[in-house]
Amino acid sequence: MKPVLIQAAIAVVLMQCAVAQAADNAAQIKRGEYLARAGDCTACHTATNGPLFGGGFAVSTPFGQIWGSNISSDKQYGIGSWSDDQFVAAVRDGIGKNGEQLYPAMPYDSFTKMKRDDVLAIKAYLMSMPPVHQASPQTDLPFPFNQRWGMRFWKWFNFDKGELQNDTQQSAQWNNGRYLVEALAHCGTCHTPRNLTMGMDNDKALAGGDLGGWMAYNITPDKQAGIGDWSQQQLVTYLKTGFVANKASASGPMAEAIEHSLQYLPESDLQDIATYLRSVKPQPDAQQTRARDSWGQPSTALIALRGADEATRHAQPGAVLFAGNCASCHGAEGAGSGSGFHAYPSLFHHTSTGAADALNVVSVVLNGVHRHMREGEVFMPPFAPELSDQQVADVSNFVTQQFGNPAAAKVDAKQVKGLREDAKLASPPIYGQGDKP
Amino acid sequence: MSDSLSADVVVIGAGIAGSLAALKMAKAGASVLMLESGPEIKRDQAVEYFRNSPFKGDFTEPYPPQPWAPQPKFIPSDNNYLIQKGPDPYRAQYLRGTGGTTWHWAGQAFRLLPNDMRIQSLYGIGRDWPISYDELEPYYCDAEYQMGVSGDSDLASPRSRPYPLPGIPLPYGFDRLKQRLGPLGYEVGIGPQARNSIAYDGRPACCGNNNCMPVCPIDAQYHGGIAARKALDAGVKIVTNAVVFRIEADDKGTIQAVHYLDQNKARHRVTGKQFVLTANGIESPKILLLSTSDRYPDGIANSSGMVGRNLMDHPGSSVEFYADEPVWFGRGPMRPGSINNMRDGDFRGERSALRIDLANTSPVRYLTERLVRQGYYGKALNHKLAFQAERFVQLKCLLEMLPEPQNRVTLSKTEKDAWGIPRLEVYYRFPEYVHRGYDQSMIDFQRMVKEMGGTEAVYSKRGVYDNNQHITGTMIMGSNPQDSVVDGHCRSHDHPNLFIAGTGIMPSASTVNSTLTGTALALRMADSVLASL
Amino acid sequence: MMTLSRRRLLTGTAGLLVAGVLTQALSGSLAFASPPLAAAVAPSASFTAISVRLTGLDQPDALLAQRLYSWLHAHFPQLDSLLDTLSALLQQQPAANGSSLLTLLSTQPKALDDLYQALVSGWYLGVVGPLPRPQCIAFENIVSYQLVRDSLLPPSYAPGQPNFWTQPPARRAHV
Repeated sequence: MKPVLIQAAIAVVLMQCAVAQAADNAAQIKRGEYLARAGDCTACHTATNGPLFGGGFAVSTPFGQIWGSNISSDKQYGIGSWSDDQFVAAVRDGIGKNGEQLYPAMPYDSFTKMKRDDVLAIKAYLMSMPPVHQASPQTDLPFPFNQRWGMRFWKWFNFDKGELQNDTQQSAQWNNGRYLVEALAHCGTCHTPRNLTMGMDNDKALAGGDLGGWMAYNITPDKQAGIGDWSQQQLVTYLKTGFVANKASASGPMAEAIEHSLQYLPESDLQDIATYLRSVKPQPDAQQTRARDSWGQPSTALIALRGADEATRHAQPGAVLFAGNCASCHGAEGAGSGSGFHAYPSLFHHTSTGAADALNVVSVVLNGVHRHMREGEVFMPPFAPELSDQQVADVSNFVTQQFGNPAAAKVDAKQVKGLREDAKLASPPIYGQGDKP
Repeated sequence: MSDSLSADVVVIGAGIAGSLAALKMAKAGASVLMLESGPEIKRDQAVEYFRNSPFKGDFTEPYPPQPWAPQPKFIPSDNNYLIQKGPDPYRAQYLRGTGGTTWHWAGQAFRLLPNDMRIQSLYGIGRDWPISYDELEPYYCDAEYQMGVSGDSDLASPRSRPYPLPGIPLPYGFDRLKQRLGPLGYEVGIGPQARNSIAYDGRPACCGNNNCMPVCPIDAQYHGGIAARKALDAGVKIVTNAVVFRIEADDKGTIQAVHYLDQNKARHRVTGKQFVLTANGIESPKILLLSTSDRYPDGIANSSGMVGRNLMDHPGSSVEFYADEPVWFGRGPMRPGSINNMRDGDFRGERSALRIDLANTSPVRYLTERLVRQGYYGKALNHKLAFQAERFVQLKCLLEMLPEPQNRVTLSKTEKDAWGIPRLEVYYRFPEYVHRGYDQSMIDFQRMVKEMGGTEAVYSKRGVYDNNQHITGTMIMGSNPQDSVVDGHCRSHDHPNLFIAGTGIMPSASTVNSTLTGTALALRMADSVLASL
Repeated sequence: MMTLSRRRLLTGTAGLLVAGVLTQALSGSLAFASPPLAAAVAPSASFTAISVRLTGLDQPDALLAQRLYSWLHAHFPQLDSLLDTLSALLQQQPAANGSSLLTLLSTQPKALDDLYQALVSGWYLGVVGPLPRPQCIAFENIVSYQLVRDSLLPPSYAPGQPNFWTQPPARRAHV
């Protein structure tokens, strides 16, 4: 063959490889985008209203604030100059670019289960996104926690390294579900209780976790303590929309997980997650005597207060507060209002009010709810700026007593004050008085 | 007497105008103190007072007054807060408390038309403003963004910025009237409202509680209480239960202090560099008139004698009828739409312009009360109520009052309130200009009733007009110190460090609700105050 | 906008040690204080029967029945016998409604007229008692709102469907 033709042929082959590579690359980036959603990288690696993956978000821990790093494609401040191995080591092994130990605020104890190819797909996706040329603040914990090598000990106790291997006895759906739950979406990070060294207690996997201001509930199939009385479809609906009528509505960190991550997963993934969750070992809880969504009934307390005198109203502060603040949307009887996406939830037959601990009720009252869903906004205003600590306690106790689990009705003002301050929330106004300006 | 309170800027009256002005000044770094005659108003208490009240139609029921800050009340009987001295009544209703009267308004947030500010030059009646629409326009934008005004059409008031929020869609029945009345030339459209159509500013969207008056349970509707709270959070010091009764000026005319009475009738003196009066169009002139001295025998800021004069409002005519098809008025916000294309034209030289609100207040209670009064009960009542409730239509027309000096509030020489402060007398008389506007509104109403196949139509009477609580004119703005109280920058002509804003300084009433204009003026005034610091 | 810290790895709450129990003082509502609620009395059969007639409902709201009967019991001596008289009167004149009823009542003892007014106003509007300060004994469950519940909630309650007002109600609003 003539040299020019050979050259042409080589050029064509190279171009085809390039096209194929580009196609491969595009596919990898697309997969990486999907995986990054499932793993919800943005939750910790994007500042509130900040540029995507630019870091600047602080995770609060008992040891201090840990800053999520800049994982954008920026060469100086992000991962732009990282090798594949370095990136994989960070995500799966908890080792930073310069060999330093990473704090397990980065849930590498879950991400270790990811396939290497998946981690690299995420890297490809991150590299395809615009660089954010800004340093994320350095994490600076007080001694001794600034001694990163100490993580070696933490890892020794708590870090089970290694990719998930397929369980050939189980279906493809189950395996995909397990991969999503245990690796990508790292549900255990919130939903598994912690041991003394703050590692996940895998003997009680998904039996519930305490996040300070919020409880991540037991999502094992235990019938009283967990999700045992949820149907497959109810679980899928919840993960997709954050709302199942007369059962549950997501608030706090779970609302964020749904908003940023889960609502974007394909239906089949959500089905697989539900399949897997319904198969894990049920974990009972002596505190939760009945399923959390089986408590409560409509209340006539508000109707009974109509026209009551001051003394009667003064004796029922929770009911009075509920009437003035909550009933307009949640109904005079607590039955909620409307149907469909924008419905206001019923407060009875609700997993938050039926829980044995009223923590989430208090936090919802203080923080409100704001889920940005693709169909629109779900919004409950925060009441921290309106209600005092005692008032929040009173209305929370009224709600749990009337509509939920009466055992939970023991909130006090001190608890509310702590939650308010931890979350740095507003307080009701204090106006000066004419006689005491 | 305590006299340690002081600030760069002392604001009298913590309503929407004063609070947004105070917020602006505080954000610019001024130290600001607000004195409010009434108590703190809390929304959840207001909601429950409303639900527990036997007088649901009385919008002051959720806001029980304190003894030192009485306010007008008309149900079940008139408390004669304003002593009526004229042939026509001026039954203003307002609130004294943090946030002021917008706690119970309907959120209608209209701009003036440019021509509304030039009716003397254009039509030979009333007064021109000393400033142009263009000068006020940026402040309209600021006010709209602060309040979260939703709207679609600019309704012939030019805009340099779009509405912050999309318009709230019309109720079904309004759409039906729009379709049927449009061909006759009556354009029913979405009204601009300080009401969220989507979540905004940390507050939810309107979801149709249909309780705007007397209180929105969820703060989807903006009101002065929200403004006062923001001012407080921005560092404004707000003192409630402080009834200002005197403004003190020195020999040079510089305001040195204001004096207030507290809950125990003890006196306090408050000093400052700049003073702002935003206590509504009746309470503000009252304070000015009370502040007499040898040097100022007619009170503060009153060398023109105009303080308290030129009292205006929007006289209201109305019709109610049953439409020939179900329209289900009463679902959604109370004032979502109106007919706005009758507000301007050469006819204004002869008779008042018109603006017609379609009233979306739920008529169920009103109709039931009437049926009960008529002696119905049981299935007969239920049957009638079902029919009436689904077809009831009420149209309310706002007419334009003119500024006439004899229409005024003055201090009573004999009557005092419980805290020893002289009460107010009011003289009010509608000019023929308004009555001719009424006549036109009847013509239009009759056409509309006919088009809607209306039955049992009841028209309001000539000369008997609703008061719409849009208190304007009493501290009139103008360029001539001899016939006006404040200049185009809201500074009083007589006292360089006394500023007045709110609806009370407006030289013309137009036919639109005044709050947005009063608030825009207050924001403009804030710039003037800041420039003077 | 709320800021929620999403990944908080705390065991147990980080509650503070300062005890801050705030008491809530109710603000002055002296001007509008309601009188004490009448002591609860179970409705009589006479009351139940006439209530069905006066409201046109087979099953008037039980809570409102209780509240209204208790109030009537405290304000009308011989209540049940008066109820029976009123009931008999209405049964004799079933067509009397509207102005003809007003005429009929004007021929009766004042107590009977007062009782009628209290019953109808109490059931339909939740308001009883004389001026200057009647008493509101019910709001959410009054008959007038019950009758139109297919298209309206009582004011200050929202139906959880944004912009619902753009559509006509699903069902016609009458019982």
